[in-house]
Amino acid sequence: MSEDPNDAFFPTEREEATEWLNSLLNKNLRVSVTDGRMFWGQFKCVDAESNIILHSTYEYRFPTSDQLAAAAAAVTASLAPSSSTITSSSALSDPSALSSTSLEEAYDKAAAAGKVKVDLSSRYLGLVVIPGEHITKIELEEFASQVRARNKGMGSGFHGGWRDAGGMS
Amino acid sequence: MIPDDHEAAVQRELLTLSLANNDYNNYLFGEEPAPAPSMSNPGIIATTITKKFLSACRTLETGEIVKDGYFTLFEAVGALEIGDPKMDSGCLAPGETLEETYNVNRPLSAPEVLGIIDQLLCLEMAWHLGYPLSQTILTSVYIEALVEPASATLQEADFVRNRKTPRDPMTTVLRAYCLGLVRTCADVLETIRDELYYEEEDFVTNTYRRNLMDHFDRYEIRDEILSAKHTLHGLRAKIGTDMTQALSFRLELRSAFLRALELIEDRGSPDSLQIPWYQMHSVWEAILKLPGLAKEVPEAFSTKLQRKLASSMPPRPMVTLSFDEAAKHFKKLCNDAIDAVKILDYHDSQSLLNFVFLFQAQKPQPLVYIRCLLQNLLFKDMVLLDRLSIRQVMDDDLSIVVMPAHELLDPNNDLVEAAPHSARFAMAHQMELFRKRAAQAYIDIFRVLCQNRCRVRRMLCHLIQDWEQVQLDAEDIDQLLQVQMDEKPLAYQSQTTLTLGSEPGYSLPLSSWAYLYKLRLMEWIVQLGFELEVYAPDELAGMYWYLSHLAKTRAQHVERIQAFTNHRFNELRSSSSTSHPKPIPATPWISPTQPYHPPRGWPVSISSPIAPVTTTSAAAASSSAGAGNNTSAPSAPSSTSVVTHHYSTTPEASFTRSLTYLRSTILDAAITWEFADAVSVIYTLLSRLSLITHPPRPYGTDEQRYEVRMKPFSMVSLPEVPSYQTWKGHTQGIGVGGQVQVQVQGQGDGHGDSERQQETAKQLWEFATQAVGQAKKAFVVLEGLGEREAFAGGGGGLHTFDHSATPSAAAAAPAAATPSAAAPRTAPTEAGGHGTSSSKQAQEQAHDPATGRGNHKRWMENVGRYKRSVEKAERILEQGIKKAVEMDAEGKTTEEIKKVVKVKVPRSEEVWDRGEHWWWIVPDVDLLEGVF
Repeated sequence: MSEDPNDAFFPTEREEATEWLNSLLNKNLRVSVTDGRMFWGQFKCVDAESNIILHSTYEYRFPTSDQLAAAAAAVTASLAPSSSTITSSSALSDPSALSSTSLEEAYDKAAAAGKVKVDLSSRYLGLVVIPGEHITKIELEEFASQVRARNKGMGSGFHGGWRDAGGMS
Repeated sequence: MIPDDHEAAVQRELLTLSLANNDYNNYLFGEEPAPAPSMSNPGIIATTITKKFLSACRTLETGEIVKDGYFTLFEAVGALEIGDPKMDSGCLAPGETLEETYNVNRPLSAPEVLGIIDQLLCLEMAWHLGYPLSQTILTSVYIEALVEPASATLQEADFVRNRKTPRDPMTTVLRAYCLGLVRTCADVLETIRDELYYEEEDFVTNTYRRNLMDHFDRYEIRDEILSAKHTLHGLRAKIGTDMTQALSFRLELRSAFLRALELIEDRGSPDSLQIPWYQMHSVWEAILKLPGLAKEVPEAFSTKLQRKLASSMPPRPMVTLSFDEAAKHFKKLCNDAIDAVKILDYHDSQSLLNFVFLFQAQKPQPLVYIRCLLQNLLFKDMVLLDRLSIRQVMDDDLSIVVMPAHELLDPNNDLVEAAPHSARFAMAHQMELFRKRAAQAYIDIFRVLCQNRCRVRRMLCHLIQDWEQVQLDAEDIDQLLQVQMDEKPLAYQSQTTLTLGSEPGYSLPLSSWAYLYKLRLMEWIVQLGFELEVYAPDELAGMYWYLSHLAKTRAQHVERIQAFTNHRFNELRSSSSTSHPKPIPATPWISPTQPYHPPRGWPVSISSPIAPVTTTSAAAASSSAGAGNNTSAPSAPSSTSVVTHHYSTTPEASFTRSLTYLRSTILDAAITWEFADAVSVIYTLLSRLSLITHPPRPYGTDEQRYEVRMKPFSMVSLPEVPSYQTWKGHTQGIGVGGQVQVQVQGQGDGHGDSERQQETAKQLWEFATQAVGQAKKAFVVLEGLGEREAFAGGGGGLHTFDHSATPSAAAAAPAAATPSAAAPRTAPTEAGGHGTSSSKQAQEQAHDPATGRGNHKRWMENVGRYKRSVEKAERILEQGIKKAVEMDAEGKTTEEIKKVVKVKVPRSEEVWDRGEHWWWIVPDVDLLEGVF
């Protein structure tokens, strides 16, 4: 689900941009940071430097290369799914933060085995402020039903975005 | 459609808001948050909006924000900043990994094991000193591996679970040590948690949800340690004798610590309680004799482990004590524990109070564990010192302070059945009411003294209000009781002030008792203020004056009590003189069949430090029955016969004990009063000569500051807080000497200003010198007080009973009686400084072989410090201040005087380090060299 590089606001479109940011308030965001962690929480506040305040935040840490390798090695033994797992292929969609040779090997192994499930370690943090300088990626969470509704052309609202949403599902 | 969408959005918003609040509260109150939402829910789709979002933010102007209307920036202050290493516990430095890579299964050499153990010892001590576990022993990779996850059996508890190959012998040693360490921490923690302490201020009890093995029996762990020692000795040839010894000592230390904790919990015999502490102390000596064998293993400790603990706190640095420092603290811990355990050696209530008071007045103060241990020994299950009910100690105290051999304290009163018109029944009833009323305030004194010094002062300020109330209630009870006892009022003459007690009065023993305590606590509050440096140098004159005012009030009050006690003593002697031509001070026996039957004391008489086992069980039984003070040991028929020989305190002995106490209290109060007067005048003098400067204080007046200083006392009706005018007058050196009395009574305002300035610097100097002289003379007497006279009995090492105290008090009673029989005659004059006759006796007492034991030793040290303070005051008056006063009289300016005389107000620590008492901040007044 790559983002359309053209879908951005020009500095002159201040009103629209503010309106769009306002529409995101209290929605759940997933914010990834430079050290590879991801934070999930309710969007509460942002400023010009993109310092984001998230409420009721959980910290997610992607498996380390060792863990991933171990899991990949064990993948043939068991493929039982569990609720608190994540498929490595989707979780590691942004490998830039975690690039290392062993990790890539793990990927390869995982790819060879089809699917590897590794626990995503998480921790409750509460209220956090994420300085804009650390942010590598921001994702907006929506219910699948909402996305579908919008794709049908309903409630597209005040922004012309979501062009790539169609290709997602 | 759009409205629908909006509605849904609003609803969602409200929903999330209320949820958010809950979450926030959870976060605040440390409750478990909801489990983390799964990232792979098919119903939820995540869309990447990075670029759009960032570009949208860039359109905002600096300082402009987009925020939820219900979200306040005030809340935002509490947000954790991601990426800030001081706040974000998950933040990793570039290249840093979250997981610790140390392999706990790697083979260890003996020096490495020793190094790890020594580091653990340092960390353990740091924990005792108040740092959290997370910064101390939970930074050890080995400890973490051992306790997490928690193991069900002791065998399972290992650094590596389900190991396939047998454990390496060195790892066995380390494992045994770690097991012992973790278990002792659990016990220490429990002891502290059970008592009054201040979280974060004294100690951090957080275990971060780590299990500290308190589900394993201590003996099992000690078995592990023992078998590890066997393993170790098998290696002797390989690792060398010294190394074997060094490791073995450390294992022994653990084992002894566990034993010590076990004994405290099981309440083994008091004698045995201190044995493991002695052991630990000597093991430490042995450990320190084998230095330089250890090899440090810094990689076995990591602050990264803190990220796994149940805490949102980011990793904080490990607290590192040097090994020598840790050893010093550890040895002090052992010594203090040995001393603390001696509290079980009970002599009398006043000795007990002195014990706690002096034990806690050490510097550095005993560690929080020791302070909690002391509380545990004192109050566990509301049984005092494991064998006394609160009532027993309180009655003992009442009999020492105000009511020796008094019919109100006769335990037989309890046996009188409920008969509305029986005086004895009424007495028992009223006394019970009083005990219930006063017990808490009484017990609190001990509890408060076990806190850290700042808390002691703070809590005493609250406690005096309780005592104020106790005193008021006691007055009502006194008035009811004096009717029941058909008491006659008595007029007495005060020796201190040489004034006749205004009108004949009643003895009011219970409220007198409460008043005396209140006065004592008030003095402590002021004096702790000096110790804790609450007052600025230019306030010292006023505060020492107030101290002297309080001490004088106490002296007068004790004199009043003494007058009534003497009166009753004389009555007793004249009634017994019908059978004896001359009253013999020792033991005129009053047969129990006589109608007036004073109690013969409690099983805890002055001479029976530890009651036999049967008494202990009786006392325990009596306290376990009901509220603990409803019944008493002697009323239980079964125990009466057993404890009879402990009743050996006759009414005479009881009176002598009480009069001894009153005498030493007057002495103490008189010294405090004289010396406080002297110090106050010294400061007044220095400030009049402008040798102590008043810093500019543009935001307040002296009067406001005075109000603040007196705030703790403003709730107390008696003694009344002096008016600001009176106080001000005294700090300016008006009305010292003869006029003090007049001013205290609140007539100071009547003096004209012209009259006020009459005291010259010279007169002030003379007055101070005189007061110091008086204090010093009185000190000679005080110094000579023996263990019993000073009420510093007990605490002398439990194993010394057999030869230091005879079971039959008949032998001990005369010894105590001899000096104090003379007390009623000599005491008042001693206050004036002529204590020669009794000081000789006191000197003899000082050579008593029992002198210098535990409690009394600390008392002597305390007196020694006092004395050095007095001597210093005398010295500066004789030299520096004298010179300054002379120069002032010659008309020299302040600048000129300053060139010759250097004045400095020392910090209370300096005062302590010089061996003086830090309740007496005597200024440094030095003559600069080359002047003469």
